[in-house]
Amino acid sequence: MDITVEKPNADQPFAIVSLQGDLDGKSYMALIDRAQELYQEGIRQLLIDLSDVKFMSSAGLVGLHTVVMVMRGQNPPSMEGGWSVIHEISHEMDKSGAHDPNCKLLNPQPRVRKTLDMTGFSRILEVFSDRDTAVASFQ
Amino acid sequence: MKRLHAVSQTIALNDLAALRQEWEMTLQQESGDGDAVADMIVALNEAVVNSLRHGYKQEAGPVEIEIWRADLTLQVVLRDSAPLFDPTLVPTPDTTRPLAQRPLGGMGVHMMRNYTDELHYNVTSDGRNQLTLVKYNAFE
Repeated sequence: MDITVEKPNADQPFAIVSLQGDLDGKSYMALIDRAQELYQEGIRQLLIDLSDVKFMSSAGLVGLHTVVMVMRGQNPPSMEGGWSVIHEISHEMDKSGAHDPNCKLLNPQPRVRKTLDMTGFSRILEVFSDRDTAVASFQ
Repeated sequence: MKRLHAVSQTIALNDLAALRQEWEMTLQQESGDGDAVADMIVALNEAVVNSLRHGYKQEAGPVEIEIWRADLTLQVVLRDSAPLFDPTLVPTPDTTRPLAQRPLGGMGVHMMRNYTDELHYNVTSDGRNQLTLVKYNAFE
């Protein structure tokens, strides 16, 4: 999977991360690593562009979940500890039930959207189909 | 029943992208319905990941995969030699609750259930895990 990053406004701690390829068990760590780098660079809000992601597995969901944590300044779990670590940290996630204000998704393909809906992730991460509208929602 | 595909080999997580392509090609050649094929590939991917990640503890391991067609029904059988574990007994997560209040790790099995019409587990006569995934009306 390739990851490209845009920072539309240098004065704003906001970036657009575009993914190209499959978001799966092989690639989800690359997304987490990139999010951590961006956090270190001062980024606190992410729009994740899924337009070019044709396949997403449950590992991809773990990746998205962890990116939300990273943008909140929470330490992501060591993945070497396995999925049980994710169970332990999941209670730290959004308790309000509202959309997360700092991480949003852009234009998932229908197959990926189906998985986001099926797993309830689209209730947590707001999904946009229009890039300008999505970008404006962070301002 | 017609067997469309069979592999018996040691598989690692990094092999899955190539295997998904292989499964997709096999099913396209058999005029598989696009949505049904895509659903089954997601489910089968999760099943194999489950074997490797939980069964073989993140290591590569021996896995058998058979893809069968019976009229319009697609049936996939996955066998592994990991410690016996029935994934169909994993509780269904409540996906209406906030992310904070539900475990993420159960999503793979949740996806397996929801992307198939039937999901069965049994132990083979030689003591291995066998998971059967079924999708109806999977061929045009």
